[in-house]
Amino acid sequence: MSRLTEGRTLRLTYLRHELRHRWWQALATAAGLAVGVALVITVSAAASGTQAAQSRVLDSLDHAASSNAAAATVAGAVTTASGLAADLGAWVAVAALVASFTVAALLTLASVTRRVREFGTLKALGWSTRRVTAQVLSETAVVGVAGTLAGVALGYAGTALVSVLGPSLTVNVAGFAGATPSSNGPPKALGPDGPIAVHFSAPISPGIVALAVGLGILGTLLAGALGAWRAARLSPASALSRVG
Amino acid sequence: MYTLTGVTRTYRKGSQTVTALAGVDAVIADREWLAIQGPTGHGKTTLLQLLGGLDRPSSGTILFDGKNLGQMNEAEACRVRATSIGFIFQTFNLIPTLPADVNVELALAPLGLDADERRTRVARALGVVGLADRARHLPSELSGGQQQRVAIARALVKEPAVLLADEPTGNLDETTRDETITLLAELVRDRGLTLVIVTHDSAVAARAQRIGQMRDGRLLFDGAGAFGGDGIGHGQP
Repeated sequence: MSRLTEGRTLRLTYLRHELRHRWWQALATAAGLAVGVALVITVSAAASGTQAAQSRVLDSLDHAASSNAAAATVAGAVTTASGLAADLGAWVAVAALVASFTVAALLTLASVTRRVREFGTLKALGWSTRRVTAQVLSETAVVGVAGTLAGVALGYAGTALVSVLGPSLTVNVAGFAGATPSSNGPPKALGPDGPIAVHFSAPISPGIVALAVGLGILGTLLAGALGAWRAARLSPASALSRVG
Repeated sequence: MYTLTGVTRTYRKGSQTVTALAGVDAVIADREWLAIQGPTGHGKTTLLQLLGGLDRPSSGTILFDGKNLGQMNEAEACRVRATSIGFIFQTFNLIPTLPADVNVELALAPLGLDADERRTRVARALGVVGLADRARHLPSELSGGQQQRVAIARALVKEPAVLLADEPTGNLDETTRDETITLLAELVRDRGLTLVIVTHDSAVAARAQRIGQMRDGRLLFDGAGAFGGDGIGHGQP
């Protein structure tokens, strides 16, 4: 009995045992969430990188465009391509977000639904609806925070990978005095007919990270709250009569 | 302990109304051991749930210690369950991920006791049912009889006035059944508990002081089962 709950609340003891014995369910939920958050961060960063590359190419072409029709055409094409990439990136990010939160929410709901009879037992023991809901939410919060933080780490890793593997773009414009854009200062002239070289990198926006973290945790808590509400609104008698 | 007057319970099932209880009148005295028998689907479990404040009657009154349990809101009924009523289920209903001692301790969560008091009470309750050495075992590591004894410890640990048992021996073999019923009989005797037990098993019912028969949603007492059949020395309530 020495290991009972001394120094800890019963809720934490319950939580610890639940996570230990249902770790694979928690892991599946956290992993789904992590993939979604990571995709949001990586895709957003890649889209930002595409736009940055566009800006650098356009800066290089800018002074040639007025006297060179080919440069003007390239500038237009780059703008279009960059716009398409950014739009696509935004949609992929939104889709990743929706898909991952849906998966996390469904897994959370499935977990809670499987435990309706358990919650009925707790209510028979005199646990209030609020106490049962708080128990479910505390479990969901741990999974949500863990999954979201893992997603942030994965997102940073994915973005670093994109930057490493990202292609160096070169643009050749006949008759154009090429330049190598750099992140600091104006493009460096390479001489007549030289290529424009742009290294692709994917910068991470702190705002996107904050958004992904916020949505990740909020989404999981909402799913947990919905699941807990569904479980708690059942009368104890109904919950106890559920098979399983 | 209980006074039931004209208690009915009906359910909507699609477009039909199902009558589970059709007007139950009964008095269950303090320290009484009442067994309820009857065919499946005649309202035994519904009655037990109403006695436990897990459900509310469609009409009629259920006085529990002078208070109308049937009119209580969920928060009030929850408080009564937390302090005064212990449940024992056929399928034990232990939380599978929690060891025996934490399962028992769950019943103390609503009472606001400190950890030392909880620990003392849990140890005492597991000792009473003879499972002090199984406190850290998960339900899956215990036999059916041991699981039911953990469930009895969980029902007892709050020191309730009433134990409500729904087929508590339904999943046990004959020997374990007898041990479990003997344990319940001792608890009724030693702690002055009121015990209402729903059972199909006539051997279990015969140990009770009084047997009621549920037929078509009505509770009938015909004198069968005799009083004091458990040999624990109670008279007729």
